[in-house]
Amino acid sequence: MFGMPRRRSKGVLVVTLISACAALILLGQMFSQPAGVYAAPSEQIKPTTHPVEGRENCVMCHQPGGGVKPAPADHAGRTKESCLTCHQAQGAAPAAAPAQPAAAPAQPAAAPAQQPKQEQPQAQPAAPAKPTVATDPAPEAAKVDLASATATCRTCHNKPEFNTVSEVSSRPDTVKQLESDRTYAHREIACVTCHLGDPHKTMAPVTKESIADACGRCHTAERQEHVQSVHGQSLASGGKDAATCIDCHSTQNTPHSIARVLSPDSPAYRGSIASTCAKCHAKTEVMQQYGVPTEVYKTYMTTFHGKANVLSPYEITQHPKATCVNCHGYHDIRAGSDPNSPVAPANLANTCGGCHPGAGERFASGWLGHKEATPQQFPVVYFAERFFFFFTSSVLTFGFIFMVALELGSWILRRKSGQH
Amino acid sequence: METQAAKVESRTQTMQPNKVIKPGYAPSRIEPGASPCDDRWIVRFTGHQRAQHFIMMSSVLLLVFTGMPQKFFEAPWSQWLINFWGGLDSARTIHHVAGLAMIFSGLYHVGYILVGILVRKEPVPIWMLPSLKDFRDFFQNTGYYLGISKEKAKFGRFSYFEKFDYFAVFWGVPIMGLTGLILMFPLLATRFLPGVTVPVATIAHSDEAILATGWLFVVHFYNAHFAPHIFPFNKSIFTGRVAETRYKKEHPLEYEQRVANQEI
Repeated sequence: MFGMPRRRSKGVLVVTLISACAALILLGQMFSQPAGVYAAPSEQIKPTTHPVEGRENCVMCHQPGGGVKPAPADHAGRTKESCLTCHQAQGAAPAAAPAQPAAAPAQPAAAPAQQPKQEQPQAQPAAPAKPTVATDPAPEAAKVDLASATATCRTCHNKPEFNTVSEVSSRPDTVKQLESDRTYAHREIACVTCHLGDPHKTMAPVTKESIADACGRCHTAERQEHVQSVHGQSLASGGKDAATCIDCHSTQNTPHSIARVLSPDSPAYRGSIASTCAKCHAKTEVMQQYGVPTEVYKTYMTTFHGKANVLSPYEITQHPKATCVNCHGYHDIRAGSDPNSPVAPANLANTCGGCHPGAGERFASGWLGHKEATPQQFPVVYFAERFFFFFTSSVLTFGFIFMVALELGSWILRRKSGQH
Repeated sequence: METQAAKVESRTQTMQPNKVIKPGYAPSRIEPGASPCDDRWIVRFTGHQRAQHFIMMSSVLLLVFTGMPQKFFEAPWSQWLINFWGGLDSARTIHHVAGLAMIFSGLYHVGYILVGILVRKEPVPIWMLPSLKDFRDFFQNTGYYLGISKEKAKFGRFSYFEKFDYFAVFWGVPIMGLTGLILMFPLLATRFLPGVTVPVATIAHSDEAILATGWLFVVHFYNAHFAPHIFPFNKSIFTGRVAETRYKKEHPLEYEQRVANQEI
């Protein structure tokens, strides 16, 4: 009880001191940085990390308090015309040039742009030189205000006409859709998460493998499996056709339009997987180069597995209907000739048993392995098919002609001619 | 040969109210020259036979309408029909239950014949079996339709097309039932049979389904319901009775026999 007033007075003192300090700092800021008065170029001022030609409006991307690598708060009110008085355009100043564009750590002052304490950034000039920052760009990406950085990118990159301005296709259509289309899994992720370093330095050429590597920076386990898979190995050995992440996960074949696997829009959704695989695996001219059978989709569609997936695309059932990946695996998909493949002859019965408990060798031997029945491959199946086809068609033809058409025809003719 | 006037006259005659009217009798089509009100009912099918047909009919209809969307899974109506049954799993369950009901109706029929012969000491139904007369009748009718023969064949208890229907079922139910059971229990089946049984059963089941459906919906429906003298609907398999005039026309030999035996 006695301590209360004393404590309260102490509290009042602390609050007063803090507010006094804050007022002093604010005043100091106001007086030390009047708008339009520029600080003299110091040794910490960095050259631009990218060429300036064609991008003269610096504040469009680097406005203080937002955007990509926002300018420090003390730059507030400066206009684009003034930037190059202090900052040297890349290449123009040989002394400052060594700053690696890929490292691009630039200003560590970026994040605390809202904080009024401006002494701090000046107090740590050594930060950008850290080698860890230079090799691993991820922490740098974390420091920028991602949401506003993304918004800044989109001021240009979602314009349809932008495609013609830029030499490199920047897919403005998909960037635009990223804003609005809720099926895109990465719509909340900042551009710079994937477009590392200087976003304007294109990672060209974008290859299937470079895309997989980019995805694999976050999706490490999947990328590791993919590297070992028949697709990943084909890409690594210079193949141009094997599947990379976007071939199965993207609705428009760009990394922007990745859809969640559980979304029915996704090409990797259960009901769509077969047709997604068939995009490549039904192409004879592509598959023949790799010695992969081409009738896989056709034969799958004659099985109950295939039919069930067509007829119940959105049904949540007790027994999920087998698609390609249920037998072949997905990221770690292997060639059928690989002894580690789940569909290798030694493993097939076990794979069937995943859904059909108790499936044995004999049950598995009823699976024709995506092959069409021919007199050489599966004579029993082939001749059964021929027999039932000819039996059915001949009996039906006989019935239609001799038990229906003739009687009906003669009845009509006799009625017309007055006989009855 | 009747003239148009005579036809009209005979029809107006039949419209007059007549003496014996059985309750509930409403002829689907008035036969020229015979008053339906003069008609008597002749019992053609027993209760057991009607029950067998009813189980077979309802189960096969269910089988067709749950099975065909699975066969023609890419047809535009398939998804609609599957949704009608409440989804694919539901349609398959209905298909399985109806299949078992169809197998039951087949066993019921065989048991019914055996009990009739062995227990009730009824005559062996040899009139169901195909005979030389059926082939003669077939050629005579075909000749008649082509304008070669002068008149149609006269049938006994069962015409050749009725026997064809009957034996089509005798072929179809074992084939569809056995292959269906293999597809329903593939793990059990491959415990005793080679693995290739399953793809063969799939082919047989699928092709025979087309045969059965095509035959039932075209040939059987035509002969039982849509033939000009029957159209639109023949109730006799459900009620068990046939009007005397029609019986005389459709099964003259059997009719004469039964009259001679003083059964009717």
